[in-house]
Amino acid sequence: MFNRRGDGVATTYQFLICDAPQTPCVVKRRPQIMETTSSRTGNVAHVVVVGEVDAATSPLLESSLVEMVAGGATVVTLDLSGVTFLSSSGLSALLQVNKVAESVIIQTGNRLVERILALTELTQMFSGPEIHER
Amino acid sequence: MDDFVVKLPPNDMHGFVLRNHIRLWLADRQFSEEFCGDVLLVASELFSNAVQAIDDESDIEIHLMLRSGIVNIAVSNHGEGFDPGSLLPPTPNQLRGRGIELSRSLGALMVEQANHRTTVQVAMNQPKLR
Repeated sequence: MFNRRGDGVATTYQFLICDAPQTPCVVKRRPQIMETTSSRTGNVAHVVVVGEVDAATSPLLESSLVEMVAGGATVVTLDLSGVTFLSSSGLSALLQVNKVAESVIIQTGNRLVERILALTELTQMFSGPEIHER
Repeated sequence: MDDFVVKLPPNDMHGFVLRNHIRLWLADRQFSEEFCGDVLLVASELFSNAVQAIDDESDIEIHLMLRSGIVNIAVSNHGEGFDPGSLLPPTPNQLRGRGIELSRSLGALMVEQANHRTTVQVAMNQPKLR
């Protein structure tokens, strides 16, 4: 179940899922598995991602980031310090956005994210130069 | 030590539930944080791969066991198997298809086919003590 909430400055996307395999998708003990909050300064989109980025949630992340690029953001900075799981599907979403944006920069500090970037030898691809806002 | 065995429908939405159950199983063992993260990653990648490979609604079985310091993750379903030796390493700009290579980088990967079922296993060695 997807829920979108906008407040004019930042936009928050939430991905909700139930916690039990056999139950219909209703909010239970652990209601959200991924949430993104974004803001924009000139051509730079700042996005904070919290939770788990996997095969189920990465399409939402990808579409929201691609939407930002289509809306004029050429640089996307991603704060992934609150990410608790990142799969290869999540990486694919980031690579897809990297294809359409001038650059996608991941702010490091999360060992889990750093590990998967290192394992896939993609660390360099997402460690961009200094940001110049236009 | 108890094994971890669960059957889930072939839907990526269940990856989150799977990881939460595996986290509980891992919490009872003295693994390093990094190793726990690696086990979660491999199990999720194999589950996701099985979801993509399957063409019916039959369940996917996920089996984790710890024997002699080796964690073995086995994911089986009715999907068609593949030859891991035929997979080329992903190129830097390749958008998709990194899951199996990622799993292989973290353990010994094996694919078995028997009785119309495919089982993909990854044996992960030397879990470090906390």
